[in-house]
Amino acid sequence: MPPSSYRSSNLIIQKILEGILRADQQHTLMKQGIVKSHLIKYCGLKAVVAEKYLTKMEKAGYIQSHEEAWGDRTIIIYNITPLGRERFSWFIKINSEMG
Amino acid sequence: MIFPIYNLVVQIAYILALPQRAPPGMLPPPGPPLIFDIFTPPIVLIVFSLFAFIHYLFLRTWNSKVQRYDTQKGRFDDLLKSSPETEENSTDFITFSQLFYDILNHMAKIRIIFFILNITSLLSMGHFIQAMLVDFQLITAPFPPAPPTIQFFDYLNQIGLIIYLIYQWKIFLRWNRKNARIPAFEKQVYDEVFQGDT
Repeated sequence: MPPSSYRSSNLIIQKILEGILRADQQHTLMKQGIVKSHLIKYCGLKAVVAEKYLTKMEKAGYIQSHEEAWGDRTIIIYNITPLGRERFSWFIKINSEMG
Repeated sequence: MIFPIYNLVVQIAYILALPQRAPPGMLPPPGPPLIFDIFTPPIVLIVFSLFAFIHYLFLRTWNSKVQRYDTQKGRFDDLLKSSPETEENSTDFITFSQLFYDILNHMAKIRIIFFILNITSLLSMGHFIQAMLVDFQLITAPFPPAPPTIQFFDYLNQIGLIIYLIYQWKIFLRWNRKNARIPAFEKQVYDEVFQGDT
């Protein structure tokens, strides 16, 4: 796998982690997490791509999801795990060291 | 940005002065201008201008993205409050991750031009040293040297060039040192997320 492929994947992964963390910081509607459709819009991803990454990241233990009732429907909420938080903090650390 | 503009002016002065350096009827008749004399100023002009222009364009775009990133808190609030079922497609939010990778990609591209810039700098310095040697009559050039005014401004230009190169090298060395850690981090994250896929 060439570095450029890692890079494009990492950009999406970091965007997703960032979206969840940002929602946690603002938490206007709920205390933790972000609605799946909002996260996809924030990251600017196509639904198919987002679905693939969210599934893989959840399997890797970076994020977790649960369903909540929304009227007569259910919505999926994503939260970040300690592992996902740690990976994003690495990313932030590298960025801050770049100055 | 000041040095590339100054350098551009000096190189244009060199190019414009080229025909005047061998006026008709000059005795003894000058030899033909060296390829080195003809091509060095335009090459230096093009490479330095390109390097500075690409940097400028990137920074202008990137800074506007940073401004948008700083001012989109309200939009993010609106997104969080919006209906989860809104059919609106992907939005144009600027993310911190995108800003970071924009710089990474830019530095990877500009590195190639920076390599050419260094070779061009040697050419520029060689051109200047040749003119100095002619002035001090240590060598004889078949082609008359540039007017003293242009040589004086080129002298300042060479000092600026050295300072500019030291500054750019510091940026690139620092960037390379930090950049060396990124591929390992990216590979680890990739392997963790996509393990079992390959």
